[in-house]
Amino acid sequence: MNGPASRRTRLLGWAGALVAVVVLVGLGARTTPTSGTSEDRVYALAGQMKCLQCLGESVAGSQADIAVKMRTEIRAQMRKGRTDDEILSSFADTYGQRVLLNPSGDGVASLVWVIPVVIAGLGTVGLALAFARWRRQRNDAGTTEVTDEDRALVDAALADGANGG
Amino acid sequence: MKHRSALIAGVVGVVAVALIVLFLTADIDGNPLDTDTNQLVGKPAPAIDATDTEGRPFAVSDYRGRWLLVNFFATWCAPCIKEHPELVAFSEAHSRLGDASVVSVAYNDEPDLVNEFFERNGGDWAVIADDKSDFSIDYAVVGLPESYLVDPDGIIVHKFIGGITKAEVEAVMADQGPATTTTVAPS
Amino acid sequence: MSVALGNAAITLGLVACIIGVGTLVLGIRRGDEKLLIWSRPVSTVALVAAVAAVGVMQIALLTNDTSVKYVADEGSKRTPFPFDIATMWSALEGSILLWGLLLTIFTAAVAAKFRRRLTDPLVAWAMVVMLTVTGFFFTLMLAVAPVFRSFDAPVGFDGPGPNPLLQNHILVAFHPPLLYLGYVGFTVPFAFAIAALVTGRVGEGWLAETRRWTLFAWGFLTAGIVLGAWWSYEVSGWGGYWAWDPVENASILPWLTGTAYIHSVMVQERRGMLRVWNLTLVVATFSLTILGTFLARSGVVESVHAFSSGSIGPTLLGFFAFIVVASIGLIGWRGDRLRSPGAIDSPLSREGAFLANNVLLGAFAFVILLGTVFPLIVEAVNDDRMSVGAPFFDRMAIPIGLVLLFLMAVAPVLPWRSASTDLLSKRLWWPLWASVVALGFAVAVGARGVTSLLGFWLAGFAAGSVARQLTLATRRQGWRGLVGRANGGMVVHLGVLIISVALVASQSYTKQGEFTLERGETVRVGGHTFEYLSSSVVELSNRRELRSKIRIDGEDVFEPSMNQYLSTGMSIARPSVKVTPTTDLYLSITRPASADRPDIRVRIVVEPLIVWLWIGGFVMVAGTVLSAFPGRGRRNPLDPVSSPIGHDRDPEPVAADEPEPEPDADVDTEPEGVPA
Repeated sequence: MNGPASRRTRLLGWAGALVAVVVLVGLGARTTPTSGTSEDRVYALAGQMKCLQCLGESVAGSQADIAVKMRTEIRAQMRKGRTDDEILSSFADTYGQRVLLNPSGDGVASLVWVIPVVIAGLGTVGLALAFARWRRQRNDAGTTEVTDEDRALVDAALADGANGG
Repeated sequence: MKHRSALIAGVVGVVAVALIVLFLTADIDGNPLDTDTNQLVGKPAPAIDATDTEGRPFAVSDYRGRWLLVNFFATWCAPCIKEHPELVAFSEAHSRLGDASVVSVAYNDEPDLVNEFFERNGGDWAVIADDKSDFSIDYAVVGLPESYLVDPDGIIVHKFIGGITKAEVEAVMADQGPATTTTVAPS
Repeated sequence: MSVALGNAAITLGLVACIIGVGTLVLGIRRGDEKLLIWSRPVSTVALVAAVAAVGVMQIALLTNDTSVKYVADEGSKRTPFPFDIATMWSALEGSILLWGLLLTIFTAAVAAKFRRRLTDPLVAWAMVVMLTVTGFFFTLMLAVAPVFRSFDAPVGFDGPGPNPLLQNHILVAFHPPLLYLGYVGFTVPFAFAIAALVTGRVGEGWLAETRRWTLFAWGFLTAGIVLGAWWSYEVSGWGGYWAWDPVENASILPWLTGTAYIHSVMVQERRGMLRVWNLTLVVATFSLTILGTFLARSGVVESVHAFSSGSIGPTLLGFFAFIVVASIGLIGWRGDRLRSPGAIDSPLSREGAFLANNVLLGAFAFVILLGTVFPLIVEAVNDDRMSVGAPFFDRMAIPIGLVLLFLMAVAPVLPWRSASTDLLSKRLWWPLWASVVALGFAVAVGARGVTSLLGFWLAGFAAGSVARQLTLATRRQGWRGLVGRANGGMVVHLGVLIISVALVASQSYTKQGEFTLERGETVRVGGHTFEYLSSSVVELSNRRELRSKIRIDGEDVFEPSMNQYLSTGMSIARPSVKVTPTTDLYLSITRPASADRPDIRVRIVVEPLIVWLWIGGFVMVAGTVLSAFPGRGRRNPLDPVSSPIGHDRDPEPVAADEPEPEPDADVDTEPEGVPA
C-alpha cells in the first residue's frame, strides 16, 4: 500500500494532489449571508445572543417568549437593511453586554480571546525549548572523547583475554 | 533546571487555588435573572406609539413635563397582580397632583383578559394590550413585572425589577427630580 | 422503615470504608500482611451496603412509598415505567447514590482483580485511595445531601414526579448511568497513580495493568457523552445537540485529558518517557470529573442541567481542592525522581505526533475551561456580567479540530523515533488520493465553505490512513488485524472521523424556519415539503398530549406534540423526526392548536447527516471494545522496533527502493503477566 517507488513520480503526484485540493476548496468557497432577509441569517444572528429568561440557551435554540420576540425583532431590523454588527449592538445597547454570547473586543472581556493565544504562544515556545534540550542531550551523549587512558585500559583487557583470561 | 517539577507544580497549584477561591466567592444564591445589565437608565425612553384599550392614541412623547411610570405586566403573572393595588394608589394620588402618570403595557396577553382584569381591580390609566410592535424588546424587558420611571424630560431614571410599592417610586422621584417636592398624604 | 433501612445501609458502607482505610494504612505502616488482605472483605461489605441502599430506594420508587422524602419530592404514582426507575437519578441526592454504587462496584472489582497482590503496598495504597473516595461519597449520602429522609405524607398525597424534561425520552435511563460509569471508572487509574507516587515506585508496569480499566472508563464516558448529545437532540426542540452548556463542557474536559492520556501512555511504554506528564494527566482527568460534579450541583454556573444547590457545593469544592493540592504536592515532591533519560529525537515521529496530540487536546481543554469560568472571573473582578457562549467555543474548536484531523491522517503511518519526508510521501500516497476523491465528492454534492471543505478533505485523508492501517493489518493477520490496541484504535479513529464529517455537515448546511400553518397548508424547507394535516388531544396517565399530524414530502406522516404535564403544569414540546441516512427532518410544535386558534406554529429543521453522529459514537465504542482485546502476543524483544539512529550514520535509509520496515504497531507490547 505504498506509493510509487520513483521519487520523481511521487513528488509530481503529491504536487498534483495538493493543487487539486486548493482548486477544489477555492471552488467551494462561500460566506454565510451577512445581508438579506434569509432565515439562515436570522438564526445565525440569534445564535450569537443569549436568551435571558432561560438558563444557558441561545436565542436561536430557545422557544421562550423573549426568544421568539427577539427573533421577530431581528427579522424586522434585517428588513430595514441593517448589518450584523448594527443589529447585535442595538440589542447590546438595551439589554447590556450580557446578551452577547460572543464576548466583545474591549475591556476585561476581551481577555478571553487573548489568553488562548498567549497560551498557544507559550506552548510553542515550551515545545521548542524541550526539543532543543533533547537535541542537546543527544549530542552530549555522543561526544565523549577517547583518551589515552581508555586506550591503555582496552589494550590491557585485550592482552588479558589473549592470555586466556 | 534542578527542581523543575516542584516549580511547575507550584505554578499549577497557584492557578488551581485561584480557581477554587473564585468558586468559593462566586454568587451562588443570586438569581441570575435578578442581576440586571439593562443599559436604558440615563437614556431617552424608547417611543411607544400605540392605541390603548379605550381606543385612544398613546405616545410616550405626550407625557413631557410629567413623570411617567411605564409598567410591563401580564394577567398571568402573580407578582404583577400583587403590585396592582400599589399602582392604583400611586396613580390616584398623582393624577390629583397632576405630576405623574402610569401606563401599563401587557406582555403576551389577550386584550379581553386585560380589560377584564382592569375592570375587576380598578386602575384608571392608559393600558396597551396589543404588543404587536414588541415594545418589551425596545425596553429590554427580561422578566415580569418590570417598571421604568421616566422623568419630565423624557429620560429613564430608574428601572424597577419585580413588584413595586408607591413609596418606592416616590422615593426615586424625590431623589432624582428637580425642585418639585411632592408631599403626598400617606394613603 | 425504608428510611431507617436505607440509612442503615449507607452507614454500614461508610463504616466499612473507614475501617478499611484505617486497617490498610496501619498494615502498610507495620508491613503486616494480615491487615492488608482486609481490603477485599471491606470492599465487598461496602458493595453490599450500596446495593442494599439502591435496592431500598428503587423499591420505594416503584411502590411510590412517600414515607421517603425523596420519593415524595421526585416521584409520582403516575410516572410510567421505566421513568420511575430513572427517577433515582433525576435529582441531586439520588444521583450521588448512583455514583456511590458505581464506586463500590469498581472498588470491589479492583480488589477482586488484584486479589493475589493485595499485600503489595502499591496495591494497598490504591485501595486506600479508592476506599477514601467511596467513603467521601457515603458521607455525602448520609450527612451532606441525605438520601433517606422521612416524610409525613398526608392522605392521598401524590408527588409531582420527575421534571418533565426527564420524562420525555427513554434515553434518561441510559445517559446518566453510562456517563457516571465513565466518571467513576477514572478513579481506578487515579488511585494507582497516587499509589505509585506515594510508594515512589513509578517505573513499573502498573500503567499497563490499569490500561484496560482506563480504556473502559474512557469508552463509557464516550458513550455517555454521545447519548447525552442524542438525548439533547431528541428533546431540545430546535435540532441542536451540543450547546456548550457549562455542564456539557464539564463532561468533555475529562474526556479530552483521558484521550490525551491514552495516546501519551504509549510513548511511556515504548520509550519510558513522559512519565510525569502521564501522571499529571491521570490526576487531571479524575480531578476534572469531580470539578464537573461540582459545577453541575453548586449553582455557580447557569445551566439547564444544573441540579438544585445546597451545602453540597462547598463540600464538593473542598474535596476537589484536597485532591488537587495533594496530587500536585505529590507530583512536585516525587517528580524529579521520575525524570527519564530518554529524549524525543525528532518532531517527525510517532512520539512527536503523540506529543502534538497532547498539546492540542490540552489546549482545547484549557480553552473550554477558560470559557466556562470566564464570566465568573469577570464578575469577581469588576462586577460586570458577560456571557461566553457557542460563538467563542466554536471559533476555538475549529482550528484545533482541523489540526487534530491532520494529525489523525499522518500519525498512524509515522514510525517511532524518526521519519523522513520520503517515507511519509510514500506511505501517505493512497490516503492522499482518497482525500482528493472525498473532497471532490463533497464539492460535487454541493458542499461549500472553506473551513467545511477543509474539514471534509482532512477527514478523507485521515480515513485513508485508517483504511491503510487496517488493510495492512488484516492482510497480515486475518481477522486478528481488527483487534488489539493499534487496530482497535484505528476503528475508534474511524468513529471520530464519522462524527467529524457529521458535525461539519450539520453545523454548516442546516436549513430551518418557523411557520404558522393552517390545516392543509404546505410549506417548503430545504427541498422538502411539509403539510399540516390535523391535530388531536390524547390523555395519558401523567400528561396531556396535543398532537399534530404533519405529512412530509407527500408520503409519511409524523406527529410531533406539545406535552402538558398534569402535576406541574409544565408544557414541553416533544419533537418528531424523520431519520434518513442523508438528512434528518425535525419537526417541533411551538404553539399547538387550540379551540379558538386551529392553526399551529411549527419549527422545521432540515439537518444533514445527523444519524451518523450516533453511528460514529457506536463505532467509537466498538473500537474501544476491540482494542481491549489482547493482540498477537508478546513481541520478541530482540525484534527491531524502528529504524536505528546513530550520529555517524546517514539518517536516510540507503536502499530507498526497499520497503521500509512497518512499525510493529499492531503487536501488543503490554506484558500479560504479573510483575513480581
